[in-house]
Amino acid sequence: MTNPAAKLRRTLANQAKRAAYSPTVRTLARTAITSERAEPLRRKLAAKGLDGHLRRFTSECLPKGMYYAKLTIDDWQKFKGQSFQLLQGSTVVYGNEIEPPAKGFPLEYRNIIVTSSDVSKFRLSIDSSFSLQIGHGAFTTPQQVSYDKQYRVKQHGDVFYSLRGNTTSPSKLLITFPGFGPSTSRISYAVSYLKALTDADLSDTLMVCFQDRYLAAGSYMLVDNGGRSLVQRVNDVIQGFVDRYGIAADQMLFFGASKGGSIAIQYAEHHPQARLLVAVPQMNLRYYLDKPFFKDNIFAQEGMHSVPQPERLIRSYFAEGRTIDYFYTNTDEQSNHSLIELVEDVPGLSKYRVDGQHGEVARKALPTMLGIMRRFLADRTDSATTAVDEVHCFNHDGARALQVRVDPDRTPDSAANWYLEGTLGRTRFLQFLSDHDLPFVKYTDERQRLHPEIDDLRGLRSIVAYDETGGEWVAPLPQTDELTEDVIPRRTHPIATLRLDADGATEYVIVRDTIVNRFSYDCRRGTGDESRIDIHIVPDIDAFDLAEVRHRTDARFVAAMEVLETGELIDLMVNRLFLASVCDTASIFVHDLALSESATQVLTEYSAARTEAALDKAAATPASVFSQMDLDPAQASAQTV
Amino acid sequence: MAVQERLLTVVIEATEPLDRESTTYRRLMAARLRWESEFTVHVIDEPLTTALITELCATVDSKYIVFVRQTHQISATYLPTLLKFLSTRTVYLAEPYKYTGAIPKQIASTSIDRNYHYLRDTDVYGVAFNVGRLGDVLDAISDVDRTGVYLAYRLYWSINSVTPLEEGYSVSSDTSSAIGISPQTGVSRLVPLIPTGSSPMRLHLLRHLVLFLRGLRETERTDVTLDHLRGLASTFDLTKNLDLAEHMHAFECAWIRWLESPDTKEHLFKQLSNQDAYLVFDDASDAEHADVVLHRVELGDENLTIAKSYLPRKLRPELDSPDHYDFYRRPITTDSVILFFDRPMQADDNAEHLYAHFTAEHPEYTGAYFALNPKSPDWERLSARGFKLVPIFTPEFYELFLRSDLVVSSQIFNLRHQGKTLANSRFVYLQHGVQLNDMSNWVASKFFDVFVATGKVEADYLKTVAPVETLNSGLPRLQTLSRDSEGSRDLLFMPTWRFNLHQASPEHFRSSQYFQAVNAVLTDRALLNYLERTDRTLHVKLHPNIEKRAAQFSFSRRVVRSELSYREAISAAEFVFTDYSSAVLDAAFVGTPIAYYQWDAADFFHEQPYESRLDYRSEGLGPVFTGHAELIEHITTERYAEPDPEFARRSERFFEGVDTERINDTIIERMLSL
Repeated sequence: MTNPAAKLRRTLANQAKRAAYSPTVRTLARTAITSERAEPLRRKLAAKGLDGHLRRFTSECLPKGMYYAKLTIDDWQKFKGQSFQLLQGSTVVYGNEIEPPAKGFPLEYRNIIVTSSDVSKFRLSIDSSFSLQIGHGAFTTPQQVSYDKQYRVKQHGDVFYSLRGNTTSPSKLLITFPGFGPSTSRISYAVSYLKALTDADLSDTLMVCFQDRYLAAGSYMLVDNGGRSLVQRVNDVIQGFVDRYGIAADQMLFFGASKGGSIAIQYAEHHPQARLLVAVPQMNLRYYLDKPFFKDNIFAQEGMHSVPQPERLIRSYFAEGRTIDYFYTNTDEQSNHSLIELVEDVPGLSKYRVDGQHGEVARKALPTMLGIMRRFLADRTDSATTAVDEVHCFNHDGARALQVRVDPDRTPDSAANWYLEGTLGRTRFLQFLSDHDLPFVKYTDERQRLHPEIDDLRGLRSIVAYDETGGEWVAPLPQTDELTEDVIPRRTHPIATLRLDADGATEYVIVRDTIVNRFSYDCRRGTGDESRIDIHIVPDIDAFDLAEVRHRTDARFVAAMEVLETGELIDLMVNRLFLASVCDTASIFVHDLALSESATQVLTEYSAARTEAALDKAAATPASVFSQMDLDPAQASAQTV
Repeated sequence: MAVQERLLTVVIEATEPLDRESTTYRRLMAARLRWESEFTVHVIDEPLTTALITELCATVDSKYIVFVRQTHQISATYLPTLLKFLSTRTVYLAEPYKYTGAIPKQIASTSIDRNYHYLRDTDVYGVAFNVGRLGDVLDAISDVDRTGVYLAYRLYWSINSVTPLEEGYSVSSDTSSAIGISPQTGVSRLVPLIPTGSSPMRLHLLRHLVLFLRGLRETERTDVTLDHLRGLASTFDLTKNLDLAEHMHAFECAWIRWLESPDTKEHLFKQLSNQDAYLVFDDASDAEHADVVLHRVELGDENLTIAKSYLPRKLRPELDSPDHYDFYRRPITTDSVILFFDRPMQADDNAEHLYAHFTAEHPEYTGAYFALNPKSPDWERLSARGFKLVPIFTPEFYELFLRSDLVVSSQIFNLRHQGKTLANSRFVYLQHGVQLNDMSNWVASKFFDVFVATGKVEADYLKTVAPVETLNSGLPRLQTLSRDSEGSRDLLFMPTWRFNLHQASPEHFRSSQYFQAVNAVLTDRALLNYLERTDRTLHVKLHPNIEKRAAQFSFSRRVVRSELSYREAISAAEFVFTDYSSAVLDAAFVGTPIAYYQWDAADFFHEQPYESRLDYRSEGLGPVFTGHAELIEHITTERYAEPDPEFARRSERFFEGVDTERINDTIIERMLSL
């Protein structure tokens, strides 16, 4: 028998909870409680053990009908390496690829945004038991709480950051942005705290370490949990510091690696005189996030794609001649998107080519990056002179390798990176060198060789070292004909962005590792309305009548492309066109009889992978990404001519 | 009534008379205080063999057996600890930490790493075996040599790892590393090829094979077959751990690589300036294309030729890679770091003399350094002479070694730092003296670009193993050595020393033939009378290894212990005699009469690692005496002072090719052209 009093109490309690968690109340409370003035109150609540409640209560308020969800997958061992989706009804609300969680912890994905609080409406695409918690407040972990405490990350409205250094009267501003952590980390939201920088380093500088505390693993600080743009809110925070301390326009440095690099590029927009220090930033988020780890989570956020892409911003920075230190690797075409590898003659740009995978670059070049920061922090411009005692060149199938012996008495004492330095017009180019067991020997390893088709061997000038303290050593490179003997002439490669309205054959180059491949493409708006791009691979783009073809298809876009060198990377070219079109599907028509067997094979695999990915999706999603893959040139001709 | 079984039998191997005053013996006996009823001591006066061990296993009445060689060392509580451990359990074996040098005070801090396992002596000594189980193994595997019994035992019973007791046992010298081990005739396998995945065992087995091959280079004859050696290398994947063996036994490492991959016959051994030296292993033909045949080895019915070939540098693909630094690609210039050194504690040898000449004649070479221990008495002297000194074997020294373009020394140390070795960089070996013993196997295994010889006789001998590297210039110290004995009344005696007296107790040392013979000279009444009558003094220059026992010798007013350097002592003497020291050749070089007193000539070379190359009687530069009386007579009759045309002729031939005035310049020309 129901107790009416108890029922009434429950009803009142629920109403009170609803009222308390209502957007209006929470927004007001968040503003009040996260303000600096409320610090004593926060400490008092924390002392009473109410910090968890406070955190949930002040976490970002989602629009009506949206909730935070925490997904726990029980049988992850069985599905390691497989993709999965969490479906709400027939809609994918989250997806990822299963990786093992931290030892001793369950596999959790926190802060998935859903539109129902009824757990029974959710299912997993894999046959694993799972649990789902849904609520109004954001989820966290004890490890994250402790991390935030350790690094003094504080919430300021909807923006989170930690402050270091001179917080009273700084004359400089160092702003850092974080990269992605592992998808299963217990600490989903890190900060780029740069522990190596000491209070002494930061004596005149306020360091602001932003936390990308949105969605399950960050949103490039572009959107909040509700999918609303954050850009203005973050810009306001930065401008607030500039205004409060009267920071001069050229006394700011924006730093970030990987995702953090892209964010740094975003938020440097209104600070043209600021220095920009980035490592492996993603230039095109749609292109980079088009992979299982991101496809069904961050990639699906419309807000990610509606802001100017980092590529567009940095091109404008190049044009402005901003001071930019950019670390990259040729093994990272997904981040580079064919820009940094080829760009040259940009004033103010120093490009540091580090070998290795995406994740290795910032780690390897850390001494240099710390050195750049410390030089900025201490207004250092000094440089020490050292000498190259020996230089030896090696020819490896056209690529050039180098070994130098530097003066052992004039080298950095602390951790340092060595580079081969040259110029590409007004741009500084620095090729990372390997340390030999012999401390005075530096050399290019297999991945650091110079390639005459993209590297200006005649422009190489010196060997330089940067150490983590900010020291710079420069040694002129002795002239040696060995380096430039019999090299093929260098070509200047176009770096214009890929356009859907190319309006005529346009050259486009893709670099991956040591492969530099050129394509000629043309792309137009189709006359149809199907969310599809037709891509025609043709032997001679000038002889292909794209204007005619666009009238014969129902696709939204039509493109033609010609392979100018080998067929390598053809799948990447196709994919870039496809992703640029923002269409659901693509059709590939191969007209080029001379297309190599390997290129054909690559395209087949690409198409199959795309189709498979599409078939993995739930019924309500588009049936397939690729509706057609025609590898019969005769048939292709028949279809299109 | 059944005989009560004891816990342990301690077998002391004493091929020399048992030294009951030695520390080792006293420490063993001390265990009787507490454990007398639990162990017996059994002394054997012949070398331990597998057959003898088998016999002992069958006859001893104890549960365990341990073998101790009387010249080995044990920690103070070695035996009580062993007994205590064995009294509470039944085990296959128990063993202490094993060393080749001094037992450290903090035994437990010895790190049990790859290096320990590799260097650990694997002979039977110091380890307590379960008598029954050892008997079982020897029943099954009776054909291994004693040196392989411990390993065979562990393989047989699959004893993959052993935690040592916190006690130390030292075999006291690393002679086996220098001369290897040589199984008895008839032994056709080193160990049974029972597979094991144990890393320590594989390291032990590698060491065993390395030492066997080292020994085989001496004997050139074995009943162990090539097939067995190949099986050993492949079963235990021995090439994987060669990094541990490389710096001491590069020759044997090349051999093991060939055993594992017989198709690759040439193995790079030493980089040189214009070509490289390779070891060539050939069991099919006779290595007829090789430049020098180093060994013809009989393995059972098979023959193996090991030769040395000088081959073009272009054969080495690594020279085309920037991750390989070629020390030879960098020319020696006036800016080059050139590192000279003699012994760490004692200069005044060939490197010092060459350094002095080089820096005086070639001041434009600003990077010449002389390395020495700052505690050496020579440090101050050389510092005062303006030598650019660097403390040897310090980080500063190794830093200079890394940077150097050339190392020049009278010593061969296995320098190795950050990938640089004497195998891949330039090294001029000046030698300490002239080689009178046949050390060709040692020479063949060392790295040098130039080997300085003194005279045609030595050069011809060295060219049999190093035709390209040998330079007959003469030793640098000879250029400035002068006979300063005009009117001298000093005689000089320079006895060498004996390996087997290393650990001898004072009493045992006093009773040794060595001490008796030397001290008899020092105390000879006729000699003392002669010295007194002619107002002469006999200076005795003791070998550094005997210095600590100097007090046992009977010095007197006329027989004094020389405190002078070798050079000063030789220079000032009117007559020099020795047993086997090559230092007397310095005296002969400047025309000072010499003589040899070899009281133990018949046995000496049995106990030394090397054989005599020189027939002292027919080729020596002075008379040879084996009897005490003959020597005394030679001196007291002053026959030593009479010119002898035969020795003058021999001396001329011996030093042929040495241009005294150009010794240093000849070496410098060669070293700067490397």
